[in-house]
Amino acid sequence: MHASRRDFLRSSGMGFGSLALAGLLARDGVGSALPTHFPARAKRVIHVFLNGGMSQVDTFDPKPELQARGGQTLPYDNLQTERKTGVALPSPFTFARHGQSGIPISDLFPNLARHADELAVIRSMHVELPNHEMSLMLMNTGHMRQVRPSFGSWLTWGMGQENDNLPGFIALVPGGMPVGGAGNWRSAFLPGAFQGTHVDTSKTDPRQLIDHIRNPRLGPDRQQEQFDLLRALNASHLDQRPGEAAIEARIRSFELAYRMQLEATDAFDVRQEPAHVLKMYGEGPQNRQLLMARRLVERGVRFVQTWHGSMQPWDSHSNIRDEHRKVAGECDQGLAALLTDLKDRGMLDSTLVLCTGEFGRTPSVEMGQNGAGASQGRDHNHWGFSLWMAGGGVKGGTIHGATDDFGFKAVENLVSAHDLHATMLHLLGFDHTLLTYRYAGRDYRLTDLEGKVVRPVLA
Amino acid sequence: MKAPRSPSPAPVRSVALAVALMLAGRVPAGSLGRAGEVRFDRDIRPILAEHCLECHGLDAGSRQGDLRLDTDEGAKPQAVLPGRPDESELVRRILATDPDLRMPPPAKGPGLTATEIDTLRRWIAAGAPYEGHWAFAPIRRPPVPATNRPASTDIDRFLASAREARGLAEPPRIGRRELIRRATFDLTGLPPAWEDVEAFETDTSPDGEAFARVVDRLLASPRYGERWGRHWLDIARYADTHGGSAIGFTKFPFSYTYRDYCVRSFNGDVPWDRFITEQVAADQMGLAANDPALAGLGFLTIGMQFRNRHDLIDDQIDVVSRGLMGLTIACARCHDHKYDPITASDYYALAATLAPSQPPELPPVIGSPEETPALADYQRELERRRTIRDDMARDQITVMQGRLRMQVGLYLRELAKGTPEQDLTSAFLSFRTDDVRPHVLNRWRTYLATMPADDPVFGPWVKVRDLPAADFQPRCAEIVAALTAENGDPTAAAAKNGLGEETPKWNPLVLAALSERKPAALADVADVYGAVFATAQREWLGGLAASAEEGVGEGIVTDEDPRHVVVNSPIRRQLRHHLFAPGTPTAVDDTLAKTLLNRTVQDTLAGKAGAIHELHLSAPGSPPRAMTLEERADAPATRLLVRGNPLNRGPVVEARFPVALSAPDAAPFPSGQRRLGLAAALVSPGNPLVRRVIVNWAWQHHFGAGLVRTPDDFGTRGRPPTHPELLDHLAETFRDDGWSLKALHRRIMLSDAYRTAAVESAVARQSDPDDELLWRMPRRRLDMESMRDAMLAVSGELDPTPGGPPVDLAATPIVPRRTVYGFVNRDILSPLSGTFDGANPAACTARRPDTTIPQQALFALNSDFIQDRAVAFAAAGLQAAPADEAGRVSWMVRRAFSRSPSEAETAAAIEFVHRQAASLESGLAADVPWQRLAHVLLAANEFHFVD
Repeated sequence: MHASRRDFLRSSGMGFGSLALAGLLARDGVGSALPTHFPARAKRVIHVFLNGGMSQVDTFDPKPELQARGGQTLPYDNLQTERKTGVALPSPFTFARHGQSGIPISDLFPNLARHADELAVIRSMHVELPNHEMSLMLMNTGHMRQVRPSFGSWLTWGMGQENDNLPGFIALVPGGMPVGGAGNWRSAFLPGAFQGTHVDTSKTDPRQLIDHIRNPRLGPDRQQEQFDLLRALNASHLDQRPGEAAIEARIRSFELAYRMQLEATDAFDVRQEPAHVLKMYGEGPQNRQLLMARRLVERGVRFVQTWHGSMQPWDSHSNIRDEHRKVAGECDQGLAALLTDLKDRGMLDSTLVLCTGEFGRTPSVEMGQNGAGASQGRDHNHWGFSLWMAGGGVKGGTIHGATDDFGFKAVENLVSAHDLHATMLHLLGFDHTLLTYRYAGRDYRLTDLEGKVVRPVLA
Repeated sequence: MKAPRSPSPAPVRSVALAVALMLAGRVPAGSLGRAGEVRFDRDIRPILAEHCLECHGLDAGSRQGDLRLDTDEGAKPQAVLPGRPDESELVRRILATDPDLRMPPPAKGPGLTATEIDTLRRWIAAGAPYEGHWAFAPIRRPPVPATNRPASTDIDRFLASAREARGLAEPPRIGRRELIRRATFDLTGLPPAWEDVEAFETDTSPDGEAFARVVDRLLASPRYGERWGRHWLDIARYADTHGGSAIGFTKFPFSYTYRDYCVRSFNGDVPWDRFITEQVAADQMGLAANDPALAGLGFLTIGMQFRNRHDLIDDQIDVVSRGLMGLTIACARCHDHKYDPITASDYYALAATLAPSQPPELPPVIGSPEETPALADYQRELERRRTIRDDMARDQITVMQGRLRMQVGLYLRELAKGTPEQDLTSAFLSFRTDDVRPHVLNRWRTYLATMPADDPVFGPWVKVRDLPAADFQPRCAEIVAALTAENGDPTAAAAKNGLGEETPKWNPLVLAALSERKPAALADVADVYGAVFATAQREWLGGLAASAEEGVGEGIVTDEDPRHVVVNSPIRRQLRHHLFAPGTPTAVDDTLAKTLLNRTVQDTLAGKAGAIHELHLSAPGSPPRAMTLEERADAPATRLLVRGNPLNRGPVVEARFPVALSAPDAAPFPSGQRRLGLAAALVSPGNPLVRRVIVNWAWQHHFGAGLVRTPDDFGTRGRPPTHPELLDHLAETFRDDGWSLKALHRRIMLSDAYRTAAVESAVARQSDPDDELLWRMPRRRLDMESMRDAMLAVSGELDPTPGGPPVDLAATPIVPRRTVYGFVNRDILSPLSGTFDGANPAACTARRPDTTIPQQALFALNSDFIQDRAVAFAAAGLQAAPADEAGRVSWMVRRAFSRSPSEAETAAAIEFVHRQAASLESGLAADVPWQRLAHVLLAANEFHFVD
């Protein structure tokens, strides 16, 4: 019989489930997760997406010159953003240096600031356009316009599965969809099994979080009887068709599914956490889903993306002080708790945490439409923005790159979305130029023809 | 599995890829050794394509070391010495141990395998003959091979002789019961009715005759078009939404007319050449204005609605080339194809073919909709909404055109700054009215670049624009003074301000403003021009208003009125010439002006257009319309874009077919009918690809895998056909049959091969692991549509209503229509489609993935859908056999599995029902145990796998 693992996988497809099947075989000593190009520093990723765009000059990139020149016209000639902007708007937030590294962080993140020495802050991010949709696609899939697989799809396809009973790539969004919707976690030409599984974390009953995870119409005992009959029918069907891998695969997937009914709901059930952990993360959908993310990666989910909410919560056009205060306040405690928690469990070394928006915000005020006066908010800014990484393989306490005197445009050690992806893949054990997938006659890769690893942020 | 592979992990990825797609990851050269002889096309080209041609192929842009290995002339003698493999540089470099010398370079990937190297040596030893790629070679009618084996049809003679040559036994065949189930799912996507199974099993005619009647009956069923039309919709990347991030939720109001067109065309067996022509050029075939075949153009128009025009055309090129010809031409957008004989010029020649075509503002109604009150309401409302939209658009366009004439300075300043050209297609939409519009800037850039130095208005600009910054001011002043002197006596010039015929050589207003301003840089000059033009425009508008007032009441328009002398002066006309004459940067047509509106206005306008869209979509009387195209005859020339960069324009390219597939004297496609030219080239007898691709496509759907296992890549990196002669035999007989797909189905299905049993054989697997010789039928699971439809059919709920706007498959209560009529969101796959490997509607899908994942099992165990079907199925069983438990089981098993249950199965089923009944949860209906039995039948492997 053609019993090699590879042949078996070939005949049963290579979706997450069949990787899961491979996992079953692994217990028989055959092997599970797919090998990486070189040893991975990080084995899983939590990607915190601050959708809408976090302002760099109000968070991780303090600019004394901006504070000094409030109300003045900034000396830029041609830095076009989406809307008309006006004079310099100093940050209403106070910065202080934190940790031994002395990384400056504003008072928007008092809790996260305690982890300054874990963070590698990149201050020289830039993308191509000040549009949400296109920048989201670029940051998530490496292409602004065309339909390409998202980072999480590439990773789960490339790295395989650690847990048989859960999807490898999960996108957590409380209440609705971000701009671009499921396009942010699509698998495009990779098999559909590698697309992100979307979970609406505004629901609190874990049974509502995964489709068909429970059967509301019959109790466990009755279902057991029913499953026994199904098993018997399938067994005699297979008996008459010996050696059929596809049929065997479906039988095994039913066994898995049957077990998942219990185990998968557990993973999402933050209510099972002890009180001190719940307290550490705090209330609210942001904090709760960060805790959920930890439960998921702990169970071997490869890539968890948490979104701040529907549409673009960080898009503070009209009042940076109040709006950024609100959204940062919703996740600061959870972010700090996440890093503490991962560290306490010995998982931070092998978990890459990335926190970013799709772009940053202008240091100048946004002008109202139709001649209305200036707001107290900031427009989209793709010329320069900040993000931070922590955990697996990241050199904590690092600042990389710089923007100009006012924090508008990245000017030193520029980092593109492709560079970011290359760096993340590197930490995960992949040479981004070799992780390719042949589709329509071409070998595609996440970073297309670009991307260089940002070595200074590597530990 | 913890340690990475050495020396390079790349093969791991490619294996994973191949496995994922079930393309079977073997390197094609694996077929060597069995046949003994080395053939370039089958054995050598795939090795070169895989390892060498990326840097040593057709694409001169990326070619290294000036070496080409894809042609005889290119390879010999530098790299290949015929007959002397060990002296050939090719072999030496492949074997080199020095990493700097080894080919392919270690960074590019793993080297060749020992088998591949051996193959290359044997090829060189045999004289290293090159030959053309099989897929591009003309189709020749191959002789049908003789064989000693039993073979009913020509198809079987090809297959049997190949097995004979390899010493493989003839496979076992299936019986009538399995055959009718296989054929019914295959042609209609539904299970056979039990009566049909019984009738076929008891038919006393010979097998062939009896089965031919079954096939004919199935082909005549309207369910056939729904099944095979759906297969085609995979190729056509069918979806009911625009797709793309921001606009992803916009629905097409009329995509369904293309879907219905496909279903209808398959049912009507429209000859394939005509089917292709309609899909590419129905509007150019002289059809009636309401001909339903116009909907065929949806093939080009229902793709992803990219905002970037280049991307939109790219998608059309991809669906035409990959979907119809198995060619990956889209690669050539940025460079000559690295592996196939397709150049970037070929790509842009196709772009030139498609670029002049755009959808009409109002798509044509097809058929003759019945005159109903609903239709009348719709028409009245449509007229109203169009008027609102057009009125606002007209106003705003006029505003924009006027504004551009006031903003000359803005653009000239931008040019003075040296702002580089921007890619117009990816320019984002600004909220600002005072922003530079990149498109207009480009027009100014081009306009001034070709401005003659003696132009009365812009002559000074031309003369000063390249002055060095250091002494700009004095030299500019000199030039202005010199030009002023050339104009002569200023008082004479002033006199010429009258209506005389004489005009000054240089525009005195420009010169005067320049000498007053004393520009120190070109930016200052730009300001001067801006002010002069703004004044001229302001005066003109004032004059217009005044002269319009004169037309009111008793007044008479007096163009000679002295008050208009200044405005009408030749000096002002010189200025206005540059604002208004055709071809000037600010004389933008309405279409362009509309794209320049600021985003707030655009959004409002889009809202008004959206109201029309919404009316099409939801008005009860909205008649079906065809998503057609219109081709401009006066289209601007298409230029090759170097490396795909819209800013790097190469030579003008004519609309034509790829050179490698054209006759040497082929003419470009005629303007205004370029797509018709394309269609003719596609279906021309000389084009070998279209017929090979379609017969392979049909074969793939009948047998689970094509004769070419890479159905959308017939290029050199695809896999060569398992039976090249059979492929050509089918392609030829397909033409003999008048391009009739139904005739092709008959030929294939009436072969012995179609009855091959799906039975594993260890012996055969050993010698032919990928079943290339068809020693068994692959095991096939019902696809997403068949699974859902079969459950509805078995439960008795299936609603056979054909066509019409898409239905919501997730609706409660269920809409029991066939799945092909379900709404398809391009971006958000329905849970059903995402879970059960539905086609990816973002791009042409020639083969769906085939995954087995626990979510599928969860759906089968717990979904409302399957349990609701089980309720109806159990009720139908009760109605059919009310009094008799065994009879009811028997009826249900026959309906679900097309066979009768064994006594043991019946007993087990009844026992299950009794056990469930004995411990039934309180409050549930007495029939629930039967429903749970029905559920088991619908979830069982026997339901989901066809033998």
